[in-house]
Amino acid sequence: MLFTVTIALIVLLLVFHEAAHWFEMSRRKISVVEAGLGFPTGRLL
Amino acid sequence: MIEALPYRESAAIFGAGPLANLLFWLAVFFLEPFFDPGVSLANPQNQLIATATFSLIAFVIYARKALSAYVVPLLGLATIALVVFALLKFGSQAVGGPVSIVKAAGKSSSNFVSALHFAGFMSLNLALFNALPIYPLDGGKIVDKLVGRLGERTQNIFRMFGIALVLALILGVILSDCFK
Repeated sequence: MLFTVTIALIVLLLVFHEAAHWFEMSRRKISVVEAGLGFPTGRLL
Repeated sequence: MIEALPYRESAAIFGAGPLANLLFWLAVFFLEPFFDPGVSLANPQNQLIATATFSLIAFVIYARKALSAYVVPLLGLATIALVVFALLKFGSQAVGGPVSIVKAAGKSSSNFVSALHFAGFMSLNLALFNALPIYPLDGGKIVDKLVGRLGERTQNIFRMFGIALVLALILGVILSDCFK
């Protein structure tokens, strides 16, 4: 049980890490999808 | 796109991840003792520790842009020195991959506080690793903007070298896990 909690905490850390990037991107009105793909999606999405 | 942003703005985006992990470690490291029922906030020394921790966290959040632009790359350089020192002193025992992490997680969890302590330690690891000035990592993406000023060719060499280094690192760490 505690092992599962530890692994869940580590996964949460990774989500926290990415969420910090997404937060800063959204503050600068940068599309997370476009930043992830590395090219502008235009009318694709 | 991020490439079009000035240095400090793009650094704020890439540095946010390592800083968030550093914040989590700070919170766990300094506030973990308060989970112990014997530790009381009535004690002035404990009040000082708690206040200093929250002030430090507030400072990191407030100064995140400057910290991302100037401190995170320096932290990455310090991490390189730390890794080289650890490898010279302890050899392959100094590094561990996913297998080592899961093994250590199994060993260290005896109660919730110890699980939190381990997560804090992993958080610091994640922050330091991502601060490394090697391209696909966050610290590398910050430095990439500066390298880009030296010319496109230099930037491409920096990126290819970084990607090759990270792939070699992943392979090396997994192999060292297999032979432990």
